[in-house]
Amino acid sequence: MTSSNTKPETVREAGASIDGAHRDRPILIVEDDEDTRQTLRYLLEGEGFRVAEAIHGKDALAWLADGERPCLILLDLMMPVMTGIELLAVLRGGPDHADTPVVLASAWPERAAQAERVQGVLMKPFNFAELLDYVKRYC
Amino acid sequence: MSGPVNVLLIEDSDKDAALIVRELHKAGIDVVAERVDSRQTLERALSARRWDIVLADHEMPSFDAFRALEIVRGSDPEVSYIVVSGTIGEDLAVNVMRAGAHDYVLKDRLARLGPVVKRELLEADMRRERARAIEALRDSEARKAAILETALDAVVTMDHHGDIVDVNAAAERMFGYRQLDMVGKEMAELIIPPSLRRAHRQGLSRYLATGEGTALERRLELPAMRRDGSEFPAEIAITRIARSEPPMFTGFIRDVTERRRQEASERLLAETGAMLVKSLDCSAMLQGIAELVAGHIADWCEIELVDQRGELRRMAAAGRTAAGRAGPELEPIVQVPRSVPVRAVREATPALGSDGAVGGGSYLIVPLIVRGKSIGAMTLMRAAGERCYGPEDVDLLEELAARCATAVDNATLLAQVRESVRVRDEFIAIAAHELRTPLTPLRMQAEALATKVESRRTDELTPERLATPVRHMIRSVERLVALVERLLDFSQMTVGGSRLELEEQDLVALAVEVVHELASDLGRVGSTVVWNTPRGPVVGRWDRRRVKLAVRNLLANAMKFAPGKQIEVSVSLDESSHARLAVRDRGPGLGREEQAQIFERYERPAPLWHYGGFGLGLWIVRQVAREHGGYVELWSEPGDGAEFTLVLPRIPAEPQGAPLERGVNEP
Repeated sequence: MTSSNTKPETVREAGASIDGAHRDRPILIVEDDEDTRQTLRYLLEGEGFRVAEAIHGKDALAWLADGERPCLILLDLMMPVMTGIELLAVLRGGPDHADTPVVLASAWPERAAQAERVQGVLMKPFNFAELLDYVKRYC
Repeated sequence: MSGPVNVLLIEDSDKDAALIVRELHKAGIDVVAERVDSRQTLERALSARRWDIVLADHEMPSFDAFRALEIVRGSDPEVSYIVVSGTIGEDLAVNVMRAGAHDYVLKDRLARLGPVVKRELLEADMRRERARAIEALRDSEARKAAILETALDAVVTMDHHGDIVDVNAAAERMFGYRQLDMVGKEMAELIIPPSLRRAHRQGLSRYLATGEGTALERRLELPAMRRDGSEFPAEIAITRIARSEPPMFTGFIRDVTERRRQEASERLLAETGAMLVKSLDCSAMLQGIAELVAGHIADWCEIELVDQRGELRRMAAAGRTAAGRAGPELEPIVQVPRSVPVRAVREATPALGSDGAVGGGSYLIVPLIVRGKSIGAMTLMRAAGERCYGPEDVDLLEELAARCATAVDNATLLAQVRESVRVRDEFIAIAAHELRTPLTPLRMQAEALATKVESRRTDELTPERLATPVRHMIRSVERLVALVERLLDFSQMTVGGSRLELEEQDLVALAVEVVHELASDLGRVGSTVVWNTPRGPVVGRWDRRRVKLAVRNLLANAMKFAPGKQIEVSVSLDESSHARLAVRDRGPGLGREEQAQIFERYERPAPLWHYGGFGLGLWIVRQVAREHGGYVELWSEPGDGAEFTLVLPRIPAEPQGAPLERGVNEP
């Protein structure tokens, strides 16, 4: 189990942070299951990150509409009202969040087909350390 | 001639008789002779046996050769009669010969007797042979006439003018004329359909002119015509009568209507058989059958199956109307009895459709029967002017319907199997997703703790710091346990195709029981139940465990989305004999899009990720409703809660296959 980013510090992708440069910006968790949201908040805050929650895609859009700039969006796929796929289409189709890092949390392996439009895909139930790798890379 | 010659001697002289016999012996003729000399002894001798030759004296005391000849001819007109006399003049000889004697021999020239007798015996043989031949010919003629008269084939003889010379009884029956109405008339006018007469006359002229006849000595299949103008298929063989000059022709005509009908029946059964095994898609198969039937033995064919409400529902139709329209989209053109038939119905005068299309001819309805139960009907119609349906059509159609019914039954069973496999797949997919949801926080918490333990971050492993993750983990575990229980519960009950156990239930009592069982859960989330039920019971035949499970899931859904709020449970009966159980929560409600999505995923196999947020609970409610032939209704106002209603027929129909299944949300 690893707890740190194994990539060389000199090789950075677009939007990646330099030693927590983006820690002032929150991680947006878009997830309809309350227990999962609470656990993520507890663990991420325990690691020193800011966390914002949305319960579905539309809720997330409402939060983003206030001008918030998350360092990373952790996006569940299956949600009522507006699914993760639908939200992703809106984000990638607009000017504001075309480059915002998104990591998908999917219970369905076949949804990995969306991988080219996102920075990562986690299969539920995922390992917190895997999430932390992404978080540390982008926040 | 073999054996001795029987000679009857009419002779009064013993001595002369002995002389005659000796003379015959001398000529080498082996004789057995008997002498008679009176009328009495002659008659006795004639009646005693058959004689080959009679030799008669002329001058006897009691009677003469003339009288004797008369007596002999009275008994045997053919036998050789020779006068043997001592004194016979030229005149007498001529007279006795004229009277029927074959010859005469003088006693003083007895040497002539041998040759005369030999010649007579030979001639008698020839006479007998000829008589036999004539008799045989007569018998043969009579036999042939009898054969012709009793023949099933019509036999018509025609002369070189084309006129009828003779017909047999079968021809009278076949064409509907009497023999004397046919003989002497031109054959073409009577029994050849107008369209073929020109060809017939030309053929006859050509034959007479050139001797070439394409219609002769062959088996032809042509339509023939009855007196009433109706035509029928006939097999015809025409032959020129041997040595007839000018030529005469005999035609043998066989009515092959029945044979053609049987061949057509066999062909139809074979083609439908191929159609029935080609496809397991019920609608396509029945449409194919309807088209085949309409093409062969009907102007219109429709096939209906009994739906869950016990009503006939059209599955396929094909054919033509007088207006030339065709296809299954047409309204029924025949107003025939619309109840589910249990036996064949045949009528000659159907009512017309409102548009008057297809003039009324006759119709035939046969039930589709599977295991003694009528599952539908096949209706055939023929326009006026065509042959009315008869008992032989009933036989054919019943056979066809039986095959269709079996195929429908197979397709239905297959659809049921496919449906249960589909339900199982859907169940497994949803269950897997539901299990992953609580597993995600559980795994994250457990692994985060493990990391802290491994890296000995003891400051984070104090009881105070551990309280929250442990609480999260326990809650996840509890969710998993509850979920697994529900999975087992439901999978035991339905997945795998276990049948409904229908028993009379009171829906009110059942709902009260469930609320009772959920008392502790309701207390935990702080929800109360408000009842809205009729005074009496709401009774129906349902599967108790399944319906309770559905009610429990509706209540669980309300508790999940509106914890701490009042839950309203209503039980009622609607006009169409459906029981309704509604669970209304005072939660945030669903937006119109969400409602639309719920129905979407309930109506068709929606992509699995659309199940998020609603999950197994409502899926189970829908499944229970479906199994009972019912459905789920959803009402919601954003901000004003949601109401899910389980609608169940009071007496669920026998399970039907997918082809007849109604849309789940169809009212």
